Amino acid sequence: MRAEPQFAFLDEGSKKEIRRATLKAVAIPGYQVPFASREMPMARGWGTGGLQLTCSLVGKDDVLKVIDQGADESVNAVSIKKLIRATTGIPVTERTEEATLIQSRHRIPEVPLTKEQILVLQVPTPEPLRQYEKKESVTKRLHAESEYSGAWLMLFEQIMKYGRTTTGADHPVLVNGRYVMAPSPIPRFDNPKMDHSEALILLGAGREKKIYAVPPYTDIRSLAFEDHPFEGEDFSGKSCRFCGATGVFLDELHVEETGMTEYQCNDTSHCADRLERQDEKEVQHATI
Amino acid sequence: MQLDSVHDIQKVYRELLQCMARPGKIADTRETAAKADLIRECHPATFLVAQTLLDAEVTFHVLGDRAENIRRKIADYTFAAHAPAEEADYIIAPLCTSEPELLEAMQACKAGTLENPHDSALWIIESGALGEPAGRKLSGPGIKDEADAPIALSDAFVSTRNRKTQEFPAGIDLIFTDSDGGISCIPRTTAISAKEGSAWVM
Repeated sequence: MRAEPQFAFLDEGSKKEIRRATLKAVAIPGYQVPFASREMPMARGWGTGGLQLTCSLVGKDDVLKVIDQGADESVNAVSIKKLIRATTGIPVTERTEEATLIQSRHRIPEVPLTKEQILVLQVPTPEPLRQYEKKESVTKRLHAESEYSGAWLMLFEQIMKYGRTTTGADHPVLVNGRYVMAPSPIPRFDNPKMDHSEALILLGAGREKKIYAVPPYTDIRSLAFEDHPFEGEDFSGKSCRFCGATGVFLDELHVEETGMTEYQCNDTSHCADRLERQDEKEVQHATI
Repeated sequence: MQLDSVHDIQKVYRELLQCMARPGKIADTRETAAKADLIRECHPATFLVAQTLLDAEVTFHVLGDRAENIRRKIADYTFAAHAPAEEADYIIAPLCTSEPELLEAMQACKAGTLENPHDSALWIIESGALGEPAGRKLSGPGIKDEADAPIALSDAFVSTRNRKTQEFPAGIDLIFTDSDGGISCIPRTTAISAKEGSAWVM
């Protein structure tokens, strides 16, 4: 005899606790609400925070999309989809438009999100001041006092050393003019998508036991100096080698045979979608 | 039909979450509320929200002169413990609560600290029908430009609430419920405008 798994894996008591923390997180945008992170059938650091949020949110009418670094098909995304599918039976999709719940590791999809969707981001290091201050008791006080010199100092040192900020991902943002927040390791390219987003964005850190949130239509400013304005990754003059897309986040590839550098879309479902539509167009307008 | 403690509660939570994320939005939980066991002294939506959020790990307080029965029922259903208004994590103000009693409790309740702003009271306030013209505007995170306040709020209420939230991030968050399954939220980040057309009194 095999017992039926609990719907969405977590017991109802755990969900309740996560839900209470999430509501507080939404009410205090950018503040990291502590929660009793549960053991998940997955190693901490692989998206257990995001997964617990997803489990607390998901219902029978949801359609789930999971992205791992832009891809729907890589290991982390597939194993999370398998767990949710096995414990809820809800459909999964790769198309951003079809999803009601999107759990993502380190990307915000290229297709603009809508108010019917909720974006869940997996966070490895929720504390933007951690590099500057090791003690949680101290960083909590710094947040309380809105004392963010540490975050500014980090950026300042990068500019002094390299002439520009070198945050490859996870460039700190100021939420609603109050809290400095780690937006999770999304590329700088995605930071502006958080500003006045239509969709609710929830962030979960399982290992660090924190939940925080960005409500829709909330001011999100990437930290920058007047003489060193914030810049996303620049892909001007470059396009995807498959679908030809421009103005999207591109992966850089070195092709050994030709010795050339090529670019391709990082958001795989967006790329596949574009290719499909190009195929359709070709067939419709075919002349023999 | 009986309330499904997994799926119905999940639905209520999602509505509640969207309301908290979009102040002024009014959610309709009528269908779910019809399944819930009733407490004669409070709205079905109030009891639903309590069942969604309360358990043995949190405390609650019920205001009003008919508090005893509500208190007993909620404790029976959720195992949450009753606590004085100054200490409670959740404060329930049934429709019969008088304004002076409500405002007194609001002045006394937990608002959290600058370090731990989440350690604050969440209010569940029963009201008349949500969505009637209320004459006040809301703005802040979660609101595109402006939203209508879901319910008419007295000047005394707004000023007590504003005093409680002025030390942001410390503050209190409010959930309103009506007799028809309606739910709406005003979190601490929301600015409530003065009544439209009311003369400015020095």
